[in-house]
Amino acid sequence: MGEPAVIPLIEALKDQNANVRWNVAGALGEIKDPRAVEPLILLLNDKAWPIRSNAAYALGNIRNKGAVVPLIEALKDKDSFVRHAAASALGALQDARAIEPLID
Amino acid sequence: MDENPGVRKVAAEALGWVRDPRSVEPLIHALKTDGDLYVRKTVIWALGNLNDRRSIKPLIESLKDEDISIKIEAAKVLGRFNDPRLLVLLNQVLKEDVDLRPPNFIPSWCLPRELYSEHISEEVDSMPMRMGIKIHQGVSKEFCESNPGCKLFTKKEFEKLWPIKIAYMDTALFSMSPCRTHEDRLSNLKKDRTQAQSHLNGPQVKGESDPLRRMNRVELRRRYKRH
Repeated sequence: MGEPAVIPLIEALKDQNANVRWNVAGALGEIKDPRAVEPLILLLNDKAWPIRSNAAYALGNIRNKGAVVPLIEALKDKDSFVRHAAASALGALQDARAIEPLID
Repeated sequence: MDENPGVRKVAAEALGWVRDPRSVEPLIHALKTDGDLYVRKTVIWALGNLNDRRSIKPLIESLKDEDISIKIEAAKVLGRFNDPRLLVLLNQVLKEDVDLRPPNFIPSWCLPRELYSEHISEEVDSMPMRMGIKIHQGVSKEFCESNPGCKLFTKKEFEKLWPIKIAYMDTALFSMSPCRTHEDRLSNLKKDRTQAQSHLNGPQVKGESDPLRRMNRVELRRRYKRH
């Protein structure tokens, strides 16, 4: 896997099958290509919580500061796994904006 | 404050990574009030990462905690402040407290720098149960000699202790590693995923020892011949 796979994978994020979306989010987090950040941010609003949490983990792995604000919003998610993933990702991003939401 | 202790733990961890002085006081508050053991342990680790002098006092208080692993975590963190006066105090506590002794706990400042070879740290990292002996920093021989009460382990002594520690750590006392990075958590997720997949696909048996598989294969062959 590598850079040529990024654009097809981003398209696969719109797949109907939840399993596909879940696996692709993980794969994009491993490739660490900054082009994947925006589609993954959109995925933070997915219906299924495993996908939301996997997207948050992937955003933490890519380490692009653009994901900080959406991840802070994901800290208010109703599912604890998603909040867990978002807090973990914010720790990986190491951005000072995340401090106050994390304290709360 | 999240109601889920897992989330609180990761939040404390994240604050430890971000390293902002604003988060010191909320962390100290959490150390005093949080009901979950693992959250408190992680909070202590985070305070150690922030390395703020305001946290020294509450950390010294948590050296008298009921739980051994909390004591160990606090002692480990206090050793990282690199304050000679603190080390003197800490060494006194270590002398008095039975729990804070090898093989439970070997203070990192007692280990010579040569011992931080990569394979030891890798081995330590690969065993999440050995939290009392996680080595964070090296200290020179001169530093140990100038600090009264500071014991410098030689490599031989350390190797002698090693198997005892493993045996000790396998008990339920140290059941969880206190802090992990984002990468660790991701690799754990990946492990879970491969485990789940292998569970779904059934055990991979070479040869034809699996009767169900053999039957399927025979069935497939039959169908293949038919068409």
